[in-house]
Amino acid sequence: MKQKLLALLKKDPRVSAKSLAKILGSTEKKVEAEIQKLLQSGEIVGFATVLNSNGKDEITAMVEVKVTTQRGRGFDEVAERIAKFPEVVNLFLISGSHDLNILVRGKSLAEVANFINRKVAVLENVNGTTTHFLLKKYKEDGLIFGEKMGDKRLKVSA
Amino acid sequence: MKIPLNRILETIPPSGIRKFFEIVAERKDVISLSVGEPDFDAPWRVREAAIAALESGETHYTPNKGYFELRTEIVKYFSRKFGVNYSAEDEVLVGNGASEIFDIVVRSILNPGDEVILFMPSYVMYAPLVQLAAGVPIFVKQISEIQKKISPRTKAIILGYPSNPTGTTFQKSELQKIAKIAERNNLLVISDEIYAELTYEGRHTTFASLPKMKARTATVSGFSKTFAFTGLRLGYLLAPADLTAAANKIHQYSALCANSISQIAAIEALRNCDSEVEKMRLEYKMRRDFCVRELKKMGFQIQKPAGAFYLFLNVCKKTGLTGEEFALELLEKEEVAVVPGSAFGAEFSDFVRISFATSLQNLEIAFEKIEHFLKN
Repeated sequence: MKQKLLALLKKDPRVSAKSLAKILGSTEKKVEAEIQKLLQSGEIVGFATVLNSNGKDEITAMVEVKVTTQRGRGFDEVAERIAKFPEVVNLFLISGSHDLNILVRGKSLAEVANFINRKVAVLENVNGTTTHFLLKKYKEDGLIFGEKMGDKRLKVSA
Repeated sequence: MKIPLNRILETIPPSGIRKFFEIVAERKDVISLSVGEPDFDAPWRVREAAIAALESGETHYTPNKGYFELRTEIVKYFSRKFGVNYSAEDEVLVGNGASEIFDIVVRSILNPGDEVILFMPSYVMYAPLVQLAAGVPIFVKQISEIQKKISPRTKAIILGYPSNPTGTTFQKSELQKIAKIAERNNLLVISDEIYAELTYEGRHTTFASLPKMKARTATVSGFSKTFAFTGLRLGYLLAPADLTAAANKIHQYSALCANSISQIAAIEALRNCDSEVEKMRLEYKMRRDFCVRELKKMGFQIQKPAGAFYLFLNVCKKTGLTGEEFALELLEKEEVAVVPGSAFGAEFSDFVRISFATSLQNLEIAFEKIEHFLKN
């Protein structure tokens, strides 16, 4: 049940417990309990909605951050500190020429630039940042922007 | 002038599916459980390969039997999935869908008046194509009836499993019984296994894998169901070299070759789409389980079909309506379309075919509507 439930929620977090129960051949109560359990264990972190922000007043930047690691703590301390800022949408530790990759979102170029300069670049153990402003989104979390849905089939066929 | 038509053709009634299509097509907002094809589009990597093929100018005739590269991939795929080895050189023929392949196989073997054994209910094309080839379909419902129906004119047994419209499949032990009959009576077996990959219980046994059967089996299959590829029209035959050559003789004159772009897309499908196929299979399985549970809750007696994406439901027992009445009233009152069983033979007038090749979301709404329909 767990794997199927996770797959269904990943596809559409809005599905009601009632529908999930029907699809999985379970009861509403059991489905709700299972979701609670998954939330408590942290296996489900949260439910998000993907918005199409193309053409909206919103600025997104991908920032590459170089970090000096700390004895015993590695990248965690600085990463956890950056993650707490609400301006930070995604934060990943990655391999390659820099260490952290963060996605920052704000209302204006100035707001995003200020945030990076004043909050991220100045942190102890941060050695440098490279900022790329996002121009257009084509796909996010597996969802393609502007893709047309709809059934292209004949209504009845053999 | 009234054009005098082929006499056999005039005896074949128009397709019952077509008739129902015309009724449904007039209506908007119908939830259709009447579709005999996947609701998924072909995997993107397959479509992308087709686009690249067009861009690079692969717009020419291909060899009659299909590109050798594709035939090689088909042979590898069949061996990997079903454990039977064929020669890409002379035991594979690529055609315009399993339908064309079936047609040219029966035309290759039948002389006027020859008989073939056919299970009922079965896919709508088998009997008409046998008749058009001047053959005579002899219908059976069970394996135990076959021997009694065999005459000196019997040429072949036709199998289609997992089945459209019932979703049932043959177990290995049942296939072994058919194999014995085929061997005893020296019959060819035409085995349409286009739904083989959509098997939900156990593993599909291909008929040609049974001892000594490869030499008397024509396996008909294609890409439509497995790779959600219906409109690209591509099927294939795996059969002994002499039968493949005979079928190719008709194919080269009537079709010349299958679509070049589709063939190139199919190479990509066979090489790199296992995970996509598995994803679709699991989705169908989940839908099947949902449908069967809902129908049981409503009080219908129904077994879980082992494959394909159909349920063949006796609606008369519970509602007193014939399949056709049920389908028409359900369409009228609840805007849900199912296919009357009569489309698959007059004896199945108590049945409807429900296709679960549509999203779970649609199925949930449709089954709520069916429940509502039954209450009133």
